[in-house]
Amino acid sequence: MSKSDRHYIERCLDGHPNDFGYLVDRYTSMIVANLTGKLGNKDHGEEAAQETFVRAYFNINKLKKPDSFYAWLLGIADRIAKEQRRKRQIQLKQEELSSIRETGTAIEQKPDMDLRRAISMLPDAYRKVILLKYYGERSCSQIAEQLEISLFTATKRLSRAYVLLRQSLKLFQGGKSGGAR
Amino acid sequence: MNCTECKDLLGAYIEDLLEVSHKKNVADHLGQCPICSGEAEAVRKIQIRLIDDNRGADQSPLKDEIMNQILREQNSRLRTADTTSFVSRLGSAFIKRSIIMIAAVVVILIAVVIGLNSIQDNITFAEIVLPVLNARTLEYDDMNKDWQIVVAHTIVFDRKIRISFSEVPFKDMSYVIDIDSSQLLGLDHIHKTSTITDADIAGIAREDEILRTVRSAIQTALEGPKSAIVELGWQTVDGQDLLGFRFNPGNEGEEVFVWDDPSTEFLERISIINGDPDPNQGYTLNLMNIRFDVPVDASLVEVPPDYRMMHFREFMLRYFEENLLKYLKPWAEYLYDGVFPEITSRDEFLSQFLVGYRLGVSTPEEIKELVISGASLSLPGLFDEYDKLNLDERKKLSGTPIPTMFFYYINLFEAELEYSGGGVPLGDGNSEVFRYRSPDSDSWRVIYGDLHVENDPSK
Repeated sequence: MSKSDRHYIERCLDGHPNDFGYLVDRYTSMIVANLTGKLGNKDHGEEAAQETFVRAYFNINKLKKPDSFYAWLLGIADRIAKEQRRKRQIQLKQEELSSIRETGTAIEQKPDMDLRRAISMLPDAYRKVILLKYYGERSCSQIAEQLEISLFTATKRLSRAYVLLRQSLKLFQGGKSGGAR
Repeated sequence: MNCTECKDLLGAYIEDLLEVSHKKNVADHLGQCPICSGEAEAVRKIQIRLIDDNRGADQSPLKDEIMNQILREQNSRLRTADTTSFVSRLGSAFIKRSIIMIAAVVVILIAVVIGLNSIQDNITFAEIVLPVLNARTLEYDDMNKDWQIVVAHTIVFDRKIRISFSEVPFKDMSYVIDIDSSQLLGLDHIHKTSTITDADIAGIAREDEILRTVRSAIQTALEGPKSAIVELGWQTVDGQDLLGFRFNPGNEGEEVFVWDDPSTEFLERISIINGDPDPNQGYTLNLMNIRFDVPVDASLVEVPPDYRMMHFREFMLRYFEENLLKYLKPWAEYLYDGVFPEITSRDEFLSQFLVGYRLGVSTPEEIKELVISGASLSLPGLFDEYDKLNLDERKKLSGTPIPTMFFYYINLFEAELEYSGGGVPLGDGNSEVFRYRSPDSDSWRVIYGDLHVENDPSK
């Protein structure tokens, strides 16, 4: 039913800008989850996600491999996160993030900030599979196909990603209770 | 199996992607190893957190905002008409693929039109019309100015088109066409009912065609030579000073006029005129008060929660039932002295009202005159007859209510109809005059002599 990234990219280049909307639909949740984690704040994450897609759209002619749109988009998102952190002088130190986390999540209760932060800190290969699996709602075989890896590698990366997430979350939890003491 | 092997397979195990033998190995290991089983439990907890986190986030407004921002920025880039960089920016993308070369030529032509016209005037043809092609949301009024027949307000929103009417016969009804699924959602705001059906039914999806016709005409003009677009300059149109352009969209006898007042947010008007004197060929499409990328309330293309869903045929008949009831009173009162007449056949009954359809009658004199003189308009060729009318006759017809659309649909849908009103006095609430049943409905709608209506579930 849904068409490949390449299809929509070619349609955009062919003068159908609205087709970019399908890619926005497909990747917004993943990009927002990643950026919220990186910037430690839901509003900043969404703002950066918006900038990511706008920048991607106006640079789509520079994308050499349309099948790698996801990786390319994630790269843009990471660059924007860096720029915004610099701009806002956000220090990714434990204490400051904790304070943002505590004020931010206590009110909205929506994003699981610790989790998103842990995802955003994963090495690239693991972050990609987790975002695709849980925020892009892909099956393992779809992930394998999209990333051009074997199903075994995909599930192995997923296993490894869980371990890393668990370690990070433990660390944050420790930091939090340590701070509270 | 050792712990490292188990951890590597844990993801696949949880996803249930392992072969039976591997699955058993992992399960056995988990049964024996508290560290790994603790790990598996922790993974499950993380999975739940991940699923919950994604479920809690509704990104729809953000997605809309992203697309709006992209399209706003795109339009603003086009409007600033930085021709050279615009062409080169897109150029490298297009030239990569030979198949898209044609499109590149089109874009360059558009850019050249923008560039050249910019020199002459501040506002150009391309600047005026490009949003019609690119806008994510579009609103306009669709009006048949010659006939004054229907004014439809149209909202194009994503891949949906919502049409509502300010004139009969579809006043207080809206349609939403889903272009992708070719489904049509009908909303009757009087009875608070809704229906879903195929969009091509009964020609209701015409609005989709209108929009496509207009967009394709504009595309043709932008792709063609600039000399084909005639600048009409500032002219007074219906009392408004407007800047005009005219071009031929590629069909003989057809002309497109674009009128704009650049100081307003509207594009005032796009008219496609086919000047063929044959009324079957000639037509005028007027899109007026065209607005681009205005925020649209998404609920407008959805079914309001308190609306009842009905089958399409039942829905249409119910909508026109009210019109019918208005017409029955003068019909019996003026033509038959207040007593419903003896009528023996379905066709005879229907033909009485199709005369009414033709004339949109409202006075007793009109009814009498037309029943006598208009009897030639008979079933089943109702619209064939309509097509034979000259423009003056159509104009006469169009400005008036059309009370007997009900019978048109009765006939179209092959609905059941039984007349038993012979001798029933108008106002008699105990005697049935006639009943009808949509092919989709289990129960009859029964109309009594005092024109109240009841549902009758019996056979």
